[in-house]
Amino acid sequence: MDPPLVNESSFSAANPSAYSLASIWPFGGEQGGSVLGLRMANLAQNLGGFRESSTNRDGSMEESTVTEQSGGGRKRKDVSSEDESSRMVSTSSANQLSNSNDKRMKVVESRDENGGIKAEVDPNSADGKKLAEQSPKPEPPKDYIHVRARRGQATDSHSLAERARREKISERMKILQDLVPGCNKVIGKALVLDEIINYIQSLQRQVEFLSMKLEAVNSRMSISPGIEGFTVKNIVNQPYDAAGILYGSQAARDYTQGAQPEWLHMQIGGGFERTS
Amino acid sequence: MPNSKSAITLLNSTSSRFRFARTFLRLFSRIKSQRSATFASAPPDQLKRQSQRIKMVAYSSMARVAGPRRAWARALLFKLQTRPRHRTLMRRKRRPSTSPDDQVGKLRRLLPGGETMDVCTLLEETANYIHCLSTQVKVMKAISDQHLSTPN
Repeated sequence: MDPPLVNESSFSAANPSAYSLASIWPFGGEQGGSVLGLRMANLAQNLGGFRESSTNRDGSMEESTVTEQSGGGRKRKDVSSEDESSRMVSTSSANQLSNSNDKRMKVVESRDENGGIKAEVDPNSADGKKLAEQSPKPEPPKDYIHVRARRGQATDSHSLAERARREKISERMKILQDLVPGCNKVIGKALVLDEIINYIQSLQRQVEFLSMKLEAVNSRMSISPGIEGFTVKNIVNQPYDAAGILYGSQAARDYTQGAQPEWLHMQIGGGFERTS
Repeated sequence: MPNSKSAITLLNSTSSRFRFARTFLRLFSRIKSQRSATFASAPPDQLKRQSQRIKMVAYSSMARVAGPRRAWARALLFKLQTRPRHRTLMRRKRRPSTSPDDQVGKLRRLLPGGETMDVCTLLEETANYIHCLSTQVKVMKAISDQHLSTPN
């Protein structure tokens, strides 16, 4: 592993466009002598291309390296055809086939997955940024309704969506059943809904009745200042267990300390946004 | 762990009750001050109108505590704040409820703003509405009990 690294550093210092080789080289180390020879041939080709065509060096040079190295990558891919890397290669090649730069990256990725020495790649390669943005591409966490069809259930999308909706509705119904007293024993959706409707109507009637009662109380004790001061505390202190009383008194103290100007503002502004 | 969780829910219910009481009493004292200004000549039908007003105050304070995120609260505040003639004009444009006779249709008519919801939203909003309504009833009951127990 050591000689390639040395070569790579010197080479990249000499040739500014040699990162293609530099990024590929560390992977060749595990493949043995034949690939080493291949790499030497690559190096020779690169250097020749650099000397000969200084204007169009990017095109010719990178073409040569890509053909050579992608051949090696195909071999590796065929060996482990059911690997994760094979899928990755296929997706990336389907996306950008024409770009030679991405071809090179394809090879890099496949080898990276096979050899498992990604830690050496990322700091060395100048394509590390592009590689990092390509590598999470194959499996993004998708947003889909997680419904699983049991045996004998329909599996087309409409049935799945309908089943999800029904599950959601039954879940909400369960919440409502817990909320309405005496509704747990009732079986059947229609009866449960009846109970819920009756409960809401009774609550609304209670509000009406209580408002009449409050009006009566209010007219009887017509002018009595300071109703708010003690009422809030007493209402909040009404819960029967200790924790509620504790919190209630605390909240009442907070209210007497600093909530007054906010109220005023709420009264002026209608209070719709403030009372969240 | 279950103990702490129940304590948290209890604290939440207590604080929500506190907020209900605070908002309701604020609005209530406002209409009370309005009323005490015109208290000298109170005909008997004013009593009914006054109780109607208290009911409106109760509902609007409930909707304000529930906040603008709830569809029923928005619909209720809209209903209370707009004039009736304007409201009928607005209602004509709405689509009719798909199931007028069964329980879901009844629930739609019962819940403010329920005519335009789908069933999932309707049930969710109903749960929240029931919670707020029962809290409001408790608060009002506590206030009236307290006033009856301490007459001055």
